[in-house]
Amino acid sequence: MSNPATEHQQEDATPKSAREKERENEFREAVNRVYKKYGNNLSAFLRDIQKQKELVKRG
Amino acid sequence: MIVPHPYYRLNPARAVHISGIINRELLSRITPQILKLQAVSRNPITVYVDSPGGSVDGMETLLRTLKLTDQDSSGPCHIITAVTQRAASAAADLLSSGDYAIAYPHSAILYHGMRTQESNPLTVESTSVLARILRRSNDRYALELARKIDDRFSFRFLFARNNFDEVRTKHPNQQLSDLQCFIEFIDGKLSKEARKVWQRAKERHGRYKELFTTVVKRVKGEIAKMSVAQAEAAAIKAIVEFEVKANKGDPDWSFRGGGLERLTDDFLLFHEYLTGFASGRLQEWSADWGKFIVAPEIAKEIDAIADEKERSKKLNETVGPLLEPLTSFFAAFCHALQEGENELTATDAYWLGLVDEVVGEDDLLCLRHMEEDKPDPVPTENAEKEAKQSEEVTAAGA
Repeated sequence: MSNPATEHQQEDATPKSAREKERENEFREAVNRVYKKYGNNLSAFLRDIQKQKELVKRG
Repeated sequence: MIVPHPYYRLNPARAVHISGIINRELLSRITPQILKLQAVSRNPITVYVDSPGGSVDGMETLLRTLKLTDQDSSGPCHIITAVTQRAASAAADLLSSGDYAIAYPHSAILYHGMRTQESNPLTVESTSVLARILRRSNDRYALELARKIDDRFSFRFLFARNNFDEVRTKHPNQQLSDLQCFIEFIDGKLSKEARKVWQRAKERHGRYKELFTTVVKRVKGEIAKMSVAQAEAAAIKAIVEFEVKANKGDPDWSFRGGGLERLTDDFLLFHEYLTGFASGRLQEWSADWGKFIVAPEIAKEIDAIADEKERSKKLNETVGPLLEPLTSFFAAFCHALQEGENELTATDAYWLGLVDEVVGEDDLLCLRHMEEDKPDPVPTENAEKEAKQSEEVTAAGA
């Protein structure tokens, strides 16, 4: 039986470039920003995004 | 304020087009274009897909080329895939392999299992070898697909959670578990065709659960001390007993008359089930999204842990059990996608986690929204003055 956990670890063990790490941090920051504002209510976040889009469309 | 982010935006100026069958000719044509784009900059590359599929080897070569690093080990370019009209078979796999996958509305996406065409006459020996190869290939591709789409699938779960109360209220059984709510919620979003694969995933998952109670619970305590072969043997023994018990009422049932095939299926299913739990990626996922899944007061408690390692450990311990049912269902779904012909719409592909976004569908939450939503800039004194002057000029003009 192959061990997928080990396979994943091997895959994940590839060293990440500085650019990739920077990117990960940027992504985490964005996720944390949403969490801080909306908690786990992603539906509320989506509604806000839709409102913003409407405003942009109307100019 | 929405600020466009290059990792989520289609860019025809840095794009390649996968049109037609994925084969050697297409690779010869596309490879120089990819290498050129990679040499010019490490910015994202858009891969437009309109293809009926082709060779799996060809698709894998294409993916490897797209993910090449450079001589400075800068890491691969970020790949945005987009289906414009049709992505079938290997092309559907290519689509889902994108770091960010987009579907145009009205595009069609077709998933199915491995297939082969044999030119030599088939014999009993060759068919049994072929069946084993195809089965293994399907399992391998299901596992690979799982790696590619698990983030998307879990993200759908996070979003769907906000609707679970509503699902429970409408359902005759108001005691539905979170997983059952999720299954119901997604089911309501799918086309008739897509519901078939969802149904197969449900059936497969039901079988996992049966096997789990009889097999895993029996060998659980001892499994840590066993070699792989010993653990497999223990599982097989437990499955044999399970099948004998399950078919006690059928006098015609025997291992020789089909039961042995069932035993093999059960054994492989059991492996799939374990696979669902083994993913080390769960930890990575928890670090990003764990807080969204635990109760807010628990999230606060975890946040208060000063030591980063301890905090991450606690988050994993809390999130892991909550996600366990989803993980095993997800494994069942990835395998179900490898069975039969699964013709999906762009929206189906979104809800099933195969793509991140459907162009123009504003009511489908995607990661792009999260990264492009930036706080409004705080107005500086100068900016305020300029705005005031501009207002005055406008008023005077009017």
